[in-house]
Amino acid sequence: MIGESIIVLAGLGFGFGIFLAFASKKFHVKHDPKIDEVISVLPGANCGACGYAGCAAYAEAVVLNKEVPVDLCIPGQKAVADKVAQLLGREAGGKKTKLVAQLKCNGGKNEAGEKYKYNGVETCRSAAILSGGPKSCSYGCIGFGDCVNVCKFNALKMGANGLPVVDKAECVACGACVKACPKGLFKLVPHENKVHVLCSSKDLGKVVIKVCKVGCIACMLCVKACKFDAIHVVDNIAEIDYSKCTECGACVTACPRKIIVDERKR
Amino acid sequence: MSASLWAIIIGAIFVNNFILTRFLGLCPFFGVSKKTKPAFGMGLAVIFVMALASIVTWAAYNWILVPLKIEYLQIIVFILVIATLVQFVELFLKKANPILYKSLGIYLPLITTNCAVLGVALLNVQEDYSFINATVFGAAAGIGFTLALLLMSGIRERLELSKVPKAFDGLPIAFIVAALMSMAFLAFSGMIQ
Repeated sequence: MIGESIIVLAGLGFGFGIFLAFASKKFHVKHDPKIDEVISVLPGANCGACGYAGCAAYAEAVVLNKEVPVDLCIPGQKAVADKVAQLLGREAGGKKTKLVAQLKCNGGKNEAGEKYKYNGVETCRSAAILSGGPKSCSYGCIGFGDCVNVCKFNALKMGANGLPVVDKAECVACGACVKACPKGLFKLVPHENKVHVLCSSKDLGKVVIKVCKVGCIACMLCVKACKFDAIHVVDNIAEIDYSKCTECGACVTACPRKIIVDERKR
Repeated sequence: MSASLWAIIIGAIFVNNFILTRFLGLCPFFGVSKKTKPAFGMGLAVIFVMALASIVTWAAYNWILVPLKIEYLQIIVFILVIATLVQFVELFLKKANPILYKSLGIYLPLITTNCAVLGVALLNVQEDYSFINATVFGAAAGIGFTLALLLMSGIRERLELSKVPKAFDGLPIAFIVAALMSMAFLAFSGMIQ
């Protein structure tokens, strides 16, 4: 009995071992070791900002296809692009400016009221379907924090005022919040620019005054105040041309509604 | 013959559902049921492995263990056989069908020592099934597993959006849901003798 069981088990184990060893040779798939090296260099957040389905997919694409640029990884910025370029023996692209997400709305609970009492599923996306959301301003932040939920880098949290706050040191500009916001309130802006228009309302001035204390009424005072032709009013909303803006702060003092904000003076 | 096969199928899918009635394979049941798509992939992999494992373990039991009268080694031999089989299937899929490997491949190692797969093999022996009955039982058990996984993932996708008391958020509410589903599946008992 003991002898039989030992022989059978040892035989089975040995047989299976040989069989698997043989099979692994026979069915061996050639795999470019560079793909693994590139994966180990990438941040591994699988945020999809590069346009591929995760870091592994981008690594495979960039190794196998020479047309794919080495600097697509936005969270990794220049450091990762350089490492990938070095691994593949290719030239890294030019220096990229660091971008961060900026919420273009300042109308929190205290500044903008509610159109109706919303009792549904607590996501911005569902609330937005119901007549554009409970916020009185149809362009304003709904405040359920869909953006906070999609952020993989802990760069977003809900502030006390019902508006999400971007931690610009943590933000890597993957663009997940830009896609998640049903109101399209996030813009990716250069990190060194500190003056922003915190409103996205395209309503006429008299409508804006009724619904929000801090909405742009397109009064044009900022346009007149700017000496550098860097701010324009398009579709009833002021917009800063970041390539021309010198952050002199003239528009910040000129704005009667205090919607143009200088982050350094907050 | 066909009537008893039918009874085996219905029995394995509904009456004695592997997850909800026999409580086997609970680990992947809670682990891979957060979203429907991976749940479906996992389910397909389980059906595939369970059917194959039934065939191979039936052969190992009836052709090796019974003639040598060492049936008491069944558990250890079954584990050996199933692990080898899954490993081989993974190798084979990687070479033969990379697309299928990408969708099933990551789940295969998870199933290697899944107790539900071992459970199928042991139940085949316990019920003294013929070769065809054992194969059908394996496949049907896999289908039952997939059904439970899909139902659970559908519910959990909804749960993500609903207000759950903080203490119950996540896994605790999933256990409560599983208990309710299990009770619902008890209603099938008595359908087949």
